Amino acid sequence: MDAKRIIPVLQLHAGLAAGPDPAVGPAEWARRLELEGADGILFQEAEPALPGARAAWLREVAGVLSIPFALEAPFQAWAELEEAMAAGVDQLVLAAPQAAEDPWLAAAVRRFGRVHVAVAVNAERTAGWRAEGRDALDWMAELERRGCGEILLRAEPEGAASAALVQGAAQLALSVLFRTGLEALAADALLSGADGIACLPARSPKQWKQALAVHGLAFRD
Amino acid sequence: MITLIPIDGESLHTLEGAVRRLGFCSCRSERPDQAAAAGPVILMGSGPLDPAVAQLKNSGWWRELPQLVADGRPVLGLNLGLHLLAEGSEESPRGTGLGLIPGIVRRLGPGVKDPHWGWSPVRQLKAHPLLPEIRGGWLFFAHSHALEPTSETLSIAVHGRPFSVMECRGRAVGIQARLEKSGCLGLALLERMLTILGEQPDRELTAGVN
Repeated sequence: MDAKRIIPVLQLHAGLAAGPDPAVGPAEWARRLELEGADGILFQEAEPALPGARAAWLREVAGVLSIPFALEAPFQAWAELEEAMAAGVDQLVLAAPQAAEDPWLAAAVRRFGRVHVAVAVNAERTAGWRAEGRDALDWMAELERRGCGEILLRAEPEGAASAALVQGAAQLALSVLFRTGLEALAADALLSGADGIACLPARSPKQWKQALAVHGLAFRD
Repeated sequence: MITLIPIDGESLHTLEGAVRRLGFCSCRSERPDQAAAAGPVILMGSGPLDPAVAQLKNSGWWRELPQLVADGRPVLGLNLGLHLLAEGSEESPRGTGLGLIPGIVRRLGPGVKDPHWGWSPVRQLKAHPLLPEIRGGWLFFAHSHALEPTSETLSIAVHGRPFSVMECRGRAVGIQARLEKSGCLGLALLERMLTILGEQPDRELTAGVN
């Protein structure tokens, strides 16, 4: 059985990773998190990148990291996806509206392979779990059919009810990363079948693993 | 000098970074006439099979790789590279592989997460000079297809069913795991293999590198 993954999320503004030390760039932050036991890194861009700026730091990250890394960004042109992959990104995370309304998902799967394509799904709990104006599980099943390799799932509001959503998503033939910073919800999601947790690096991956190991979950050493 | 064969749509930055941190020198070679005069040749990829085959044929590498192996030059296929070295793949039923490693690459599953994207424990099946001290451990995988293990397979992992992680036939070596993405263990394996395959790290290059 695969190890459950702890994936720190590094949020970037203007190409700089948000963290306690603004002088530390994305590559250095990522390298430190790898040494602290991260199983991958998710870079999350808050705003569109300046032309050419993104590729430079991505190449730097690829050159120093020995674990996979993903990029979630407000991509505005197909060329940005090509550029990111060429710079060393292992997984592109498309926003759900991009996957829903334009041919990028199919084109990305065809060009890079489904292994490199993920979609962010933000599920909201109203009468049931909804995403993109429809039942969230139906939407994720469609993403699976369309070749998406992994889902980054966020449930709003966070709460114990999200375990059932994760359980449903985990029945699909794709990987599920659950976004949360709360230990109890992380444990619930992993025990419900999520393959990993995407979380802000408020605590180190090693600390996450130690805290969650008491639930009998297997992590990489 | 290690020769890296670039495949369109694939990035070599991480592999190049790993090789550099380990103290080895490498060069990218689009065509065989650009390859280093000696040393291992690495074929690495993780995307679709057919475009990679087409590119290798167009560049001349498809014809050159079997000859290099016959001449005693080590060829290392990583991830998609292993699939290219095999006899064929279900991913491209009408095509054939290079045939440097026996076996057909098959789709994972059914009934498993596809693609297999994660860290799996690896079990070594037999001793081999390439793996003198490695006894299992976690490696990173990113694939939808894999070679079925045989009695000659060196190590396996399981994703629904066992699949081959490492094969060695003469000077052709194939590895399903993304060694360059597998943390310390992956780098240790890569270093050991490159050293045994005849490369010597330049310690000046690794000075000051953690």
